[in-house]
Amino acid sequence: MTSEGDPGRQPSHLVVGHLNKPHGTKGEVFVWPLTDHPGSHFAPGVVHLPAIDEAREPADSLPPLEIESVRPYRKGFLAKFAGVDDRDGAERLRGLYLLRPFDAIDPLADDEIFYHQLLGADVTTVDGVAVGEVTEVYSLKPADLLQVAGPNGEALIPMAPEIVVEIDRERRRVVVDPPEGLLP
Amino acid sequence: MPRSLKKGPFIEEKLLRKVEAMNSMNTRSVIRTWSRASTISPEFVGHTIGVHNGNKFIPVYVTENMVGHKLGEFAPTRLFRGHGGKLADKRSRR
Repeated sequence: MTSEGDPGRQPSHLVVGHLNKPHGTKGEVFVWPLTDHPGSHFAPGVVHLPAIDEAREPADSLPPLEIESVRPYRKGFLAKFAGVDDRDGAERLRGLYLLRPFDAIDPLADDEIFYHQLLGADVTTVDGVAVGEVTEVYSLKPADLLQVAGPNGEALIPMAPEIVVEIDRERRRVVVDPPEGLLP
Repeated sequence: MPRSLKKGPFIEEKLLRKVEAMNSMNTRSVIRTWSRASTISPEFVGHTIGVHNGNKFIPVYVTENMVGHKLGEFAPTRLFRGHGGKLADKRSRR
């Protein structure tokens, strides 16, 4: 498993949800989705690996959690896991993160990249001038925002196709064509 | 109550002048503005506007479907880093 400090290697698991709190008395838990494809992860029969801390390996001490039933609720889901039939059982799940093996994650589209692949990626201009390294990705609409730290300072770069012209996932390189004044 | 149609959309004059000047010269550079209340007009499309969020200027690349909205809608005053650590199944799309 890749730690947060080593984003270059492929992680073995990704975080797809957070178990917020129990709901009702029949063992349901409110799940906050941490994935862009919740439909494929929150369905009956899907097995999740619980983790105590975010972005860590699945906890060996905790058994896998299989979804028995799930329904949408507010901005997330109410899930019932197999073997958890009362509120006390659901209470024990409070605060856990749900992980799924990397192989079970939906493949990326051509123009998509995982946040963890962007973090630490080198940013250069189309002329080959180094801008810096991606330090943060902000999820905004209509385009995400890359925070890039370099020798000249910090810059915010919108992920618009007119500005971010190329993303090389393997070499972890982002090529930008910035308008004047975007870079420090 | 919505703004009167008679007045037309509000766009800060100085900002519109700068955009029109860049359009006429066919140049492209970031225009910084504090005017979050300015409505995005079709002249803005293709430009990058640095919209102040109270702390810094957030670069907003204007596309066609942003026309009619206010600039401030695209420059949130709180930048949320997200839950799930760095290994959440979150993707960015160009």
